[in-house]
Amino acid sequence: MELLDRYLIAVGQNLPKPQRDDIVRELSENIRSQFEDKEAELGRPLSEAEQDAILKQVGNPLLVAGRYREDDRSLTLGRRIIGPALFPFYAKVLWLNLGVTTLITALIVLALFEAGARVTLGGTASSLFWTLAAEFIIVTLIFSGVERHVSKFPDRWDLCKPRDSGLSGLLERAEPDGTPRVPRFQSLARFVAGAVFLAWLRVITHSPIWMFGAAVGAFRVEPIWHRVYVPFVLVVFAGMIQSAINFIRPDWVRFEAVVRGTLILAGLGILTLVVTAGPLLTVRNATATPAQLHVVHTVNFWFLLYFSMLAIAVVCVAVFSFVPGLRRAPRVASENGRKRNFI
Amino acid sequence: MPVDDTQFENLRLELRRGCLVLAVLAKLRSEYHGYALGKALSESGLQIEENTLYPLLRRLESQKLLISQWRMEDKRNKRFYRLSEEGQMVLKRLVEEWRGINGAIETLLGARVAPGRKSA
Repeated sequence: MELLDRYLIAVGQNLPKPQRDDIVRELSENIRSQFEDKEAELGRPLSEAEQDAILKQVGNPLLVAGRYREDDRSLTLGRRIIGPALFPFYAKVLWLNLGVTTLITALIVLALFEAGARVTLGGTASSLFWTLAAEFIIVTLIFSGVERHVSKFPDRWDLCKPRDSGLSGLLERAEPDGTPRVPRFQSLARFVAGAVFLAWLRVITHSPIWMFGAAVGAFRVEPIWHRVYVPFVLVVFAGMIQSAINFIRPDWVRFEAVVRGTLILAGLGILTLVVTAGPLLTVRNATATPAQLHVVHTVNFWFLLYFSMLAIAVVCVAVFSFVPGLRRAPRVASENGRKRNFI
Repeated sequence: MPVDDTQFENLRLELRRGCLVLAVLAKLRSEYHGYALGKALSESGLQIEENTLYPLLRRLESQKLLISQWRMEDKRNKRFYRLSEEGQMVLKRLVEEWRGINGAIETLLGARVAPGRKSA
């Protein structure tokens, strides 16, 4: 495949779908005209290095695509923290993290409320606010680091080395020759999600009042939680290490599959232990009132329901991830289809 | 890059941004495709990067100041841009504005330079 085609694929992957083909077609014509001009000037076809120099002049594919998007949103706190090129990715990761946290908190509050526990709006809002603020800071810090790197080294991308197309290759799911690769964006998102989750877990473990509010005084957690805590943290941490490695080596697809497969099995094992352990919470004192017993009973029921659903979700994700016909093939086919459209 | 250079670069980009729109609109009174327009502007002494020019053309078209058409040239299909009727009216008003600003700035710069010359 020609260098120009690789460049156009890299730009196209970061463009909004409705205008993608049109923009890529026009960009392709403009760059080809530039190539022809240079060839006429030199009186010979351009070498790959000369083509690369012209493409460098046109710009980093990620930034070029960013300029075509009419979405000029950026994050500015005194100075620009995250520019328009990275902002859509940042927004996706941030909303995913904040959305999942809000959903989990809402489900727990709902369960406590239904059980008749004392749940105050102020307490819930305050704990949710601080959790979301911590997630916002962590995700923003990571993306501002990426933004600084892109701004400082705008030329640090190289299409001559397909495995290392730099930050422009953040979303690439396949090498130009169709070989699958783990998208860097996916690795980055998983790493950030893992870090945020561990930070959240640490806070909740030390101050459960942030999650359960005033109702925390009535509960005592069963020993199963202490038994699964360390293995669970290790599974999340191992997932973060795998993501970091795949960010550096997106071509290690088999490594990703083996590690994630192992981690999914380990996660399922932990979930099975939790679900089959019996009640997950008990009342703190032996002379509990029927109302307190009702709260604990309802919360246990909801927890069991969540974890069973989580186990089913994990199995579904595993099936989807490890049946190649379901995941890889359509992607490679769509890459090839897009490639044909570009030329 | 030292802080002063960064500051200058930001101010220079800010100054150029509006001028580039005016230059592109002025040049597109005749029809050009993206690459040829970039070359023509460069020959007129106004360098503009490809990654600025091509998205700018699409933005001006979406604002209905330009119209475009795919057409064959040198056995290749290219997208040609030219000023729309609305674009012509906007250009006319922008040129008036430009001349006003330019005159004022020249006067201001002349007023500042003159005493310096005298003292030198």
